[in-house]
Amino acid sequence: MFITVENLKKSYLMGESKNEVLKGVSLTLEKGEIGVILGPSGSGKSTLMNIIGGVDHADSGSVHVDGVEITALDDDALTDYRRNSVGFVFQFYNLIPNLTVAENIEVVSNISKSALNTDTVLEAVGLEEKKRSFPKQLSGGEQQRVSIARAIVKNPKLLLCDEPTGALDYETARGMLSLLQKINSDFGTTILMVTHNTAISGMANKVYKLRDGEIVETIRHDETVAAERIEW
Amino acid sequence: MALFKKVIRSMLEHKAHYIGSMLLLMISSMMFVMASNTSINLEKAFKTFSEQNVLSDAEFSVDTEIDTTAIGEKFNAKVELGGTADCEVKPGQKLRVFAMMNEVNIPAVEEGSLSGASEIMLNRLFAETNGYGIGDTITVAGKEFTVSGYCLLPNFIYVVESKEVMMNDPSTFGVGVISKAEFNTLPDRHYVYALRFNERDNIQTQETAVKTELRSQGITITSWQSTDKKINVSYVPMEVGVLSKVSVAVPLVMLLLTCVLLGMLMWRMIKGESVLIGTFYALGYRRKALRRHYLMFPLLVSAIGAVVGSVLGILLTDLMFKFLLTAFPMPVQETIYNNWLIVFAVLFPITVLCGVTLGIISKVLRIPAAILMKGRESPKKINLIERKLRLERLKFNTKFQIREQVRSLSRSFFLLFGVVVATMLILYGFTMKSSVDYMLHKGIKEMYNLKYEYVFTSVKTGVPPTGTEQFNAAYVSLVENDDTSFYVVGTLPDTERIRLKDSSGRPIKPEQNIVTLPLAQKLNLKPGDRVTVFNTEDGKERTFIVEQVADTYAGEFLFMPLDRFNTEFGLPTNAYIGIWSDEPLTFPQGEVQSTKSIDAIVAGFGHLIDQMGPMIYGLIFAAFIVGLIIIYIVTGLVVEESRANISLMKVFGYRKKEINRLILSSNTIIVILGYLLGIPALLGTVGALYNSLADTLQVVLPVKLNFWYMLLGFVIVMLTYEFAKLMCRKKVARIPMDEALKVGME
Repeated sequence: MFITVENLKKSYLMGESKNEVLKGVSLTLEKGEIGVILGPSGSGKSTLMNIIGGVDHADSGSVHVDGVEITALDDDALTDYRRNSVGFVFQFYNLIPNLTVAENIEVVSNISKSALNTDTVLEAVGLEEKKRSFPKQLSGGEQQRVSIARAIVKNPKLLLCDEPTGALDYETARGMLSLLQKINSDFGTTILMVTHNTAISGMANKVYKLRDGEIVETIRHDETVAAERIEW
Repeated sequence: MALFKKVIRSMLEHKAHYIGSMLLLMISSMMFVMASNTSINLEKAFKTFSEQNVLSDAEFSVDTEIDTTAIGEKFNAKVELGGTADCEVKPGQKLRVFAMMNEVNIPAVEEGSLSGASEIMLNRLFAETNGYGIGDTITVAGKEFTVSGYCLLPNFIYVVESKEVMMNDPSTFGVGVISKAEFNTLPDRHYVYALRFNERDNIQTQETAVKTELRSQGITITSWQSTDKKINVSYVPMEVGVLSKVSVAVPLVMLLLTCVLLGMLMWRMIKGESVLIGTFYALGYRRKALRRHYLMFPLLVSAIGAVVGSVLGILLTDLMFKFLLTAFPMPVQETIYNNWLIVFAVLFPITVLCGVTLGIISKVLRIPAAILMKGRESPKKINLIERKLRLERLKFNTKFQIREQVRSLSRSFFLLFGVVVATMLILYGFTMKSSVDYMLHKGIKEMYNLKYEYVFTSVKTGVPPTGTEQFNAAYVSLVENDDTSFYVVGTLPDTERIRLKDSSGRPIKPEQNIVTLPLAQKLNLKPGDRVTVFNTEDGKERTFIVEQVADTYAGEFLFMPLDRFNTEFGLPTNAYIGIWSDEPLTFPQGEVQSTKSIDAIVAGFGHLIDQMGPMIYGLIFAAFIVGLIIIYIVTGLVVEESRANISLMKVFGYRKKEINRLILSSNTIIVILGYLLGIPALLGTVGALYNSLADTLQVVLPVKLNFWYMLLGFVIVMLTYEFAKLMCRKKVARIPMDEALKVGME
């Protein structure tokens, strides 16, 4: 199993009260698969993804990624884990506005041991002509493509996408999902996506429905739907 | 009231920025109030002392006695015969004794009483340094005197033996005043007439008229010293002038820095609060109310900074004035304060800062509320430089740091300007020290290969005493400007006592007419030029052709072979006026007019350099504080503006060191550039200052900055920078990763 999450718990203190965000979540995902975590706002899906991404710490339970128990890693080791193994795609792209497209990608390749060529990933996302442009000069879809290019340039084992289509229009969003599917097939990258858009679940090998910090349903798709055919 | 609470809370959230601005303003107002009021007090003390004690406009010597009453009546002036005599008190300790004057240059009694028979008044510093209390006995020129009190002389306020010495060592030189009757018994006395015009305008013209009158009577003027060129007096108005300039320049620079800083802070804050401003509009707030709200920031900063600074300035004025009175002893006056200047020191920064901020606020408030509420009116625009930069070939870290700098040009300019100012402050003291060091080591010590210079009262002929070397000298003035005077010196052509070199460092002998560099610079002379002068003793005009310029800053001289000098001045070929020696010599009374000890001059320089120490350390400390405020604020701004990027980098797996290197060190280029620009800016400023002071100092100082001081300055600037970065590291460490994850979610 590439990702194994076992009985993961996480709570936050809100003043004097304790807010349990994850109440014993368990899931598994095979290498090269696409997983989708579905859930409404406040269900704990972003927290779950942050812990899997090594950005946040769990209170209890464990997360294994590619055989490494990341919940047991200290801060430095977690930094190495994020640096070498995980790519992030954000809802609002999080591009650095005063860097060009190519430079935004270099932010990551600069610290990666086995980074892909910037031009190669730009070609993969169809933005080779825009490498000298600044984010402000790009459309939302193009910015998200840059964000994906930046995430895959380090050739990560795991790509974590937080509402990757949340800020995009319908057509652009479908194009983006196609791109993710292509990356998954071309590079064999395991992708874990967080969304509240149920329609997206069709392209996933595994879908986890999260509600109030608990997985209420896990669906396995033996056949996945091509992103272009997804409608919502 | 609720909005006012927001002002206070916003300021507390960004304490460093606002406290930094207040500190800069405090320094600005403090410097202005202190320097301008000290200047006023010093000027008043000097004016009062000059008038009450009838400071002469000129002192002169002639070859015969003149009728002081007739000259006085003819030129509506006071003329009184007095004199000085340099007397040895102990070996290596000299006292310049003045004859008590009653009409012009009247001494003031600081403590004790005027000197009567067998009594002497001393200057306090000499007396206290050497343990002469009032009532004690002192032996001057072999005669015992009782110290009757401490005196202050209007024509010798800055106690220094000669212009070459620059700063006095009170253990070796002081002044005393005795009655005229006692004075007339002293050996080696030198009579001097003191002249003060009753009409206080056009002094120079009146002086010329007196000189012309004396010459028309066949009287030879052997020396003429205008008071405004006499360093013992002219240093005081010079200090007043310097303080006046400082009182304007330094506060203006600080105010400018604060304006840029606060302007940037306000611009960023208002931009960041555009949604809030839009909401305020929607809630029914008027532009006027919002303008008033945002004006509270500069108002509070400038009011607190200016008021505290002015109060500190008032407190420091008294200390500064008293300190200056120890360097320039004058009768103590009550410290006065110009209330209008203090009001100005408070209101000017408030007006300027509020004005600048008002412009910025008005610009933002013109944007419609609906657009402001979207919060997207001012997306980070890509400026022209950012667009045009082609950085593909550079390493990512370099690219990133360059992009950080061009992202906010106002921020980079502020930092650059701040580092230039800090560099100038740090290196100002070092430059002064380098200049004096250069004058001492590459000037005095290098040029003079002797220990003592004795000048006789009359020309001698024949062979000089064994172990000595003869020279001749004439004090000449320019024909077209008799205020410009210098010595023409005749030496043996193969002399080893005076060592000169050309601009490339090759030794040159005075086998031809050689002018020293300060004189060449002052008169704009180069080889082949002619200089026409008249001898102050015989009044005859002579023209000399400059054949070489010697690269030495030891004084303003024209050297020539002794035989040529004697021929030129109509003297026997073996005539000489003085000798140079390595050993102290004794002569019969009345034979020697003056003695110069090179060691004393060197000691004077050493004393000056020692005195510079506190000034240099003070300037370095001030520069460190100013630099630290500026660099800390700018680095803090970079961190603030890069919060999302820093958070993102943490998510991407950047290590602390890597983030610090990228974000905190992004200003390194600007800091280094600021330092490099600060050096020529400083050398230019100091050069202009030296030139403006050359007439008063009677010395042309070379503008020099030792390489090691430059390096030390660089180390101090970089240490300040590193310290500021260290202080900002915590800020970087505190930025959480989830900030990047939440972007756009609020």
